[in-house]
Amino acid sequence: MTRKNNPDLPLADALQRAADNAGKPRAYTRREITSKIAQTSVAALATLGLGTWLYDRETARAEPLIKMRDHRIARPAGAVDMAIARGPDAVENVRKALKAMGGLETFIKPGERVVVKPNVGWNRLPEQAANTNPELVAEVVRQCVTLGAKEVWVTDVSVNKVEQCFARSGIEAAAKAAGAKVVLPGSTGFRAVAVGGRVLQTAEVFWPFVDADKIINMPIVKHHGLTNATMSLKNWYGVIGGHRVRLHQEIDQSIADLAAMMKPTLTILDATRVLLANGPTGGSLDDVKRFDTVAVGVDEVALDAFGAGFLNRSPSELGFLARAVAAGIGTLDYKSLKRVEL
Amino acid sequence: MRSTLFALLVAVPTALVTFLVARGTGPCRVDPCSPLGATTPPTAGAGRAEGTPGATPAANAAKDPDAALKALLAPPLAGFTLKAEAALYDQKGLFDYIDGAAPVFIERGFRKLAALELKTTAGGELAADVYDMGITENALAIFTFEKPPAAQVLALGDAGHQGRLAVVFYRGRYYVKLTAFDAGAEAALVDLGRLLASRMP
Repeated sequence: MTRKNNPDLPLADALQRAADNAGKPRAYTRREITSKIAQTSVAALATLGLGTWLYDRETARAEPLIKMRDHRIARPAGAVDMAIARGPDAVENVRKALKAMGGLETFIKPGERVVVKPNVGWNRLPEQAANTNPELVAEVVRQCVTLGAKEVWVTDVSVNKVEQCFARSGIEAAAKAAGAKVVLPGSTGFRAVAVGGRVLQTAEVFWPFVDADKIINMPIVKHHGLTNATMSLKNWYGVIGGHRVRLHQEIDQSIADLAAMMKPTLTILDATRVLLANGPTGGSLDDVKRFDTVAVGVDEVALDAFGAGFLNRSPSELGFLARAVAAGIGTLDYKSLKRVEL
Repeated sequence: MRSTLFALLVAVPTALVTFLVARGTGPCRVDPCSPLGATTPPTAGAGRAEGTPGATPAANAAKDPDAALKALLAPPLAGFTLKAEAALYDQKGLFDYIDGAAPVFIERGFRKLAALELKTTAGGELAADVYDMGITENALAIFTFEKPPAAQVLALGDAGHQGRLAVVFYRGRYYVKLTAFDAGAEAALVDLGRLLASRMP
């Protein structure tokens, strides 16, 4: 009941009180205070509701998550799982190893769109061995083109400035000369992909990796300050955008999560020149040693287990390999695979 | 009526603030927050000497370490031209520049990196990375950690060594790595090192 409806308060008395209180701060009744509190609470709730509604609308506009395709192929019984070629000519090594695997034609078909993914993370010369050997990249591109691939995309989400990395590494020039389209990542072109890993649930993946029919992983073997080694599995950091610091919080599991998401058609491991210390950046040629070896295979874990030897590491010392084995990505026992050494 | 107006005036701006805050701190995939963080330094900018006029370099470094770091690379650098302004990286951004090498620096007290690309007057290209490790002991620690066992000792700064295409040294709180990308630039690495060391307290 309000004051003006109160029959016990005569109008004249009310007017007199109003005149007496003119110019003085108004005294609120308990009921008015309760009412103000209620109104403020309603306003606060409305605020929260409106903010949440606006945020939900923004979130709802985000594109749906994509699931990465499985780019592996079914292989005939008795096929070679891993081929290792050694010799002073890097191009000849990759040719021999691919031939031993049954030829690239068993993996790439005419009309397909192929991504070749070297490590082009660094503003470094080929001799500094921070990036994949450009001669190997060129040879793989040449073979894909010869086989009638519709598109051959060479790309990597570099760590240093992307234009510098592709130019300084020699990969841009070599890949273009061989017939590839070099795709440099920019600020757009990343797609939200479901990772579903233990650490990484989602990732922004650069579009060629999403659109390709086949993917060829071409890592280089080198030292890495945090994981001791970077090879096939770690090379998948170069498919995603964003600040890398969050990937390094639980790096071994992050590597395994991404490796479980990416299922490449083929992996070609470059151990022509190996950066033995101060990786992954390197810089001094004194940290580089030539091993003149190329290994090709379909089991990335096995290839990394083999590659660990160049860095004087046992596969069991590399935490990301243990996580990858636990995730069922491959085997450490590369010697148990059908293997050819040339 | 007045109460309704009051509620609207409070609710609408606060709702907008709530929305903006929620959008900025919500779950962030890898990584819509920065489409290409890997190649985007967190801060950039150098090019003029800063610090308190009249104060010693050491005092300036202690008072405003970022300005002192940028001043080390400020032109003119006799015999060299800058390809671009120096980029500064903090602890988080360091991963965007050296990836998995970052933790060994951070564990040893890394504070900030200034990265610079230069050209010699003859056109040779090289890179200068100056790590501010906060104190001399930290700079010595990372220098010792990264030094190859058979490194060729170089009399530069407090201690240095030289390899093919690379010169490394530390002076005071700063750890410096210089990398050449051709033979011409390699010949100029020591000159650049001496120039930078002369600017360090």
